[in-house]
Amino acid sequence: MTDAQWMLYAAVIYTIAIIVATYAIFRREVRPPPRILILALIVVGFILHSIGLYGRGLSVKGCPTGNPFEVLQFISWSTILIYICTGSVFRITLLGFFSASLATLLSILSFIPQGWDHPYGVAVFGGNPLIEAHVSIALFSYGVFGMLMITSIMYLLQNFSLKHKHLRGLFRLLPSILQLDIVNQRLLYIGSTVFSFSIIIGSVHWFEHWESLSLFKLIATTLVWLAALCLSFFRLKQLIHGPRFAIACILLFLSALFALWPVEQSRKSPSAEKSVALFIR
Amino acid sequence: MAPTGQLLFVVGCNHESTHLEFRERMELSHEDCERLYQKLDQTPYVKGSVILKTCNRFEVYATTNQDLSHEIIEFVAESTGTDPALIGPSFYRQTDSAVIAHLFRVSSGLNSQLLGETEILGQVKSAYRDASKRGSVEKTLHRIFQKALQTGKWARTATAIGQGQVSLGNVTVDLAERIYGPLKGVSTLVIGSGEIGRDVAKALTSRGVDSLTVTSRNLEKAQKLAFEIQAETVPFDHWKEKLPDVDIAIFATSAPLPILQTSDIQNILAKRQFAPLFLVDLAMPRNIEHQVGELESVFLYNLEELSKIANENRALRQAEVERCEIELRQRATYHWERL
Repeated sequence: MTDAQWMLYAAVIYTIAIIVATYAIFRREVRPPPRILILALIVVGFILHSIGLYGRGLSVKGCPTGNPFEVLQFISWSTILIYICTGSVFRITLLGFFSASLATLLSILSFIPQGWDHPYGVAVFGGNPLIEAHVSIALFSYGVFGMLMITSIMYLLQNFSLKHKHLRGLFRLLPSILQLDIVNQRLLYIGSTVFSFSIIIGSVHWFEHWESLSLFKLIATTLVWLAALCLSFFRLKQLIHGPRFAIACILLFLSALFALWPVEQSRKSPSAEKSVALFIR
Repeated sequence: MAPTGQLLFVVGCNHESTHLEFRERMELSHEDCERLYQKLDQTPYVKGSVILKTCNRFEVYATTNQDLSHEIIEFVAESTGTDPALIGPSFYRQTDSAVIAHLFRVSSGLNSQLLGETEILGQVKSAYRDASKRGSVEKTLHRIFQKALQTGKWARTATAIGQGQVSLGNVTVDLAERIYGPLKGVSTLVIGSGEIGRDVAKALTSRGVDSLTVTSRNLEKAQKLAFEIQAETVPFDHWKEKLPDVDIAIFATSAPLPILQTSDIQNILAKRQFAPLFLVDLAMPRNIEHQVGELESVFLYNLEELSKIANENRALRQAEVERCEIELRQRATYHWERL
């Protein structure tokens, strides 16, 4: 079985988890979705996902984040990892359902365009462990932002439900506004810290090899980083709150995803090849 | 079917067969129940018995080969000092498969005053446990009570008979929990000392709200209500100063015009750093300007909206009753045939 097939099977298992949860939400029974069953399915999916990424890592001899397919798979995997690690701490109903939904969406998105899983030379990062750490930590923080987007959507749904007096169906199972707000705040701080850490690691390499740096990538990444820091600061100072904060969190994740495009472009640029050549030499 | 010659039997009274004053008079003590158990134990034709006593119900389930209603009514009359002829007609009696069907309805909350209430399942469980402990339950009763507990659990988890709150107080609590999660530590201000405000405040305290403040134009009434719900009082002229410090504010005054305007709340929200504020307007005419509900972080519900939610929940429960009744009848027949 190929590594991509393992990842595909993982997406199938996540989809089954979503179907089970959806059925539980919309049937006439009053029970919330079976938490243990959904968690078990997500864990099985995560194991398959990990096997796929590990296999890919072995074949590319590094962290599998060298093309858009791998990047999306890595973010999807990170989101599920964060759910598994923090789900029991946050104790938020439907978090598994929404996490599996995002992971599946990212996974499907990664499989659709044929060209996204394009081959690239072994050690696209020049085998430089510093850059690989920078990339994998940055993408892990994207996973945190992905989870933040999920809880922000849940916040907006609950806010809509309470404001417009629609209290049935999915809405009755959503966690409280206050609980979601606290979780959003924590995820933002965690994501911003992890992202900052990845930027610090990356900057060590950039300072040594200015000539290898793509300005386009630098600007895009720095903007996302600044956006995360500003949002964290505004929140800390209570300058942003409620639905606006939740919308800003969603935009943060989406802008992080869009920022991957200049990153991908920079890999194809001559300066990137120069960087690799420099390192190999 | 029950073993040959043996009768499955229930005799009792509940909120449907009696009025409140009657039930108050018929209130049996724990000692009375114990004496009744002893009496039943000594009755040769009674094989087993379970007494189910709640605030709205007194029932004796038994396996016997004779009608027990006369003995039970005599006992209750004697214990409560009443004429048996007066109380006799209020007692219902059922036998065999109808007993199973009745017990299933009871444990499912279908036979409760508040349809779908959950407390009854615990009460059935506790009655069964007490009777088992004292050795009064034989094989047939063991089986039907265990099945009744399973059925009660099924009704709660697999149907919507207990879904949604049907009283104003509980609807308010439900909404407050959707905003704040657990209500411990959530502070509440009650403006007005009317009955409806008191009921909602009581529902909130019963679910964990531990910081309550009451204010009213009539200080005496405010103090009386505060005493009743374990709250503090604040002079009516100062209630707006208190508002930034509370999470839930219940308005129930008889003021002819709104006493809370959008401009008031904007200042309050800034002071609260835009933490969620739950405003409940139980007054008629309304005490809160309706535009207040459009502000960010404010969740405003008025009497009409709360009543609508309660009525929708009641209708939903009612719609589930038929589905539940059919299933319970099928289960009762199935278990009766296999006894």
